[in-house]
Amino acid sequence: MKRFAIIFCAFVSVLGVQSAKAWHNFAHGSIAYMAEQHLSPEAKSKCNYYLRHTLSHYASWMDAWRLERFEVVNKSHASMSMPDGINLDFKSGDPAGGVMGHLVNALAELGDGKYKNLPDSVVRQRLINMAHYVPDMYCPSHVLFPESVHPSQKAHKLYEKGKKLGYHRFWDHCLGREGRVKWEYEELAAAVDKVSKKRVAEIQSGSLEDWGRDIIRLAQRSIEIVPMGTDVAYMPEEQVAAVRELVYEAAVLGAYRLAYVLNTIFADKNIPVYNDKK
Amino acid sequence: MLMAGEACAFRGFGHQTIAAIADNHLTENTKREVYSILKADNMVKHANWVTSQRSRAKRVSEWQYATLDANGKSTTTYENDGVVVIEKAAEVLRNRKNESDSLVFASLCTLIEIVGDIHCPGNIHIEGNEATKNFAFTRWNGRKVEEKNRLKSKWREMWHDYTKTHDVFTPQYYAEDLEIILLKKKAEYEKGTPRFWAENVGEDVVWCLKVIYPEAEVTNETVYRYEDINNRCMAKAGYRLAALLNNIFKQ
Repeated sequence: MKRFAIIFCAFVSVLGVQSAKAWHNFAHGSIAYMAEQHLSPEAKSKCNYYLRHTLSHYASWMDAWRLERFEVVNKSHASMSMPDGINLDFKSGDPAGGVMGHLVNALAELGDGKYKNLPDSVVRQRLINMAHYVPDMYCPSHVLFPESVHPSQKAHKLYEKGKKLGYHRFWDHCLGREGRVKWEYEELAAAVDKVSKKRVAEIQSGSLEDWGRDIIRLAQRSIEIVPMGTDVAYMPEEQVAAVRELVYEAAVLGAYRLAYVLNTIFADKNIPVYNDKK
Repeated sequence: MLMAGEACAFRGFGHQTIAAIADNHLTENTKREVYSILKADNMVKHANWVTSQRSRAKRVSEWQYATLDANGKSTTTYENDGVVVIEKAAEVLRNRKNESDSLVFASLCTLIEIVGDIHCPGNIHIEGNEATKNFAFTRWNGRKVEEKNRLKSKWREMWHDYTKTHDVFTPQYYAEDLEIILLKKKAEYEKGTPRFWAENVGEDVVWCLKVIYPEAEVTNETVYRYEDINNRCMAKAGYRLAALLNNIFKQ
């Protein structure tokens, strides 16, 4: 607790130098490390075969590549759009439903044993992408609410020692911040990954629609926990604790669901998109 | 000590990772002997010992380099050349019963670090090829050609960057990452002598210099592709260090 508070204070003091992208690289690596610990032997062996590296190695590849070839990797890999704010239709909206649309497409391509019919390079690229965007979906600032639901989302400005700070930038770097004080992936994973078997079963069930609703809940909580106008440098301890709880929950969801996606693909199964027969 | 380690082409963390790879492939007998000399349960902790001694003896800084002749052969007898240092340290360890404990300890630590050093392409000098000592080139992001996106980079520093991006791994986890694909090459890589090893890295250097050379302008993508060479060199260093120690301590 104390350690997090110290880390968090350190975070807000250097936040200004961070670039605006998804979870910080360190957060991505840590979440991928956590996911790797929960892969089935079959999925671990197949990931090693296709990736030729650990999941952590490729966890931030998409962000790095975005700087090189912007036209290939765009924002839709990071955000979830909600065209009407109520229904989750992953096949519509900002291309193919944003990041969820990408996951739906990837599962359609790879699930039910179909990955075996694809060239290794295609499977490899899909895995590299998923290692990044599945955890990214759970970053609390990655839901683009329609104005009818959250008219002030774009204007949801925060402050850091009196200076303006974007809501997106704040949440993107909350979890990654630990890395700046010499944490290693394994240490952060050990601190975050304290989930009961019952909770794991809950996380690794349901449809992608359920997963999408979890993401929305996280995003709504992030707005409530750190309301517009908050100066994050002076948050009381309870508020810091609530932020920590939220980003740890997001990390756990990202890690366990990434593991579940990979375990499902390499067990020649699939994950339903919707709960009902849409 | 950490700061001094940054002067090495593989950096302190890279040397620790090489030691972690080697740890994975020591025989039980070698482990017992090596860990007893080091008074530790792995070699990672001592992977930067030579670098930590640089302030005590200037010549130690030279040990990281291996010089090849113009034909790419290691024929030098210069006492501070990395290959010669390895040969001397191995000789001390083979004669360890007649040597002082402190010399045996220092020789073992020297092997752990310098075997790694001669596997870094940035540490191989080829006579008659001034570029192998270091040079500047320009790298850019391949997307925007504005001047602000063109960064001056240096040959030796380029080899720092690959390990730098893995700083948040533990050495053991980075070793696991490298071994996923390279373990199957272990039997092939561990053959030969330290002179052959340096010549082998020299071949990589000659190949790399065809694309990245003084004043060259290359994309980051090109630089990223060289990571495979860096990884291969690190894995080779780990396997070869383990093979050398297994050979020394086989009796």
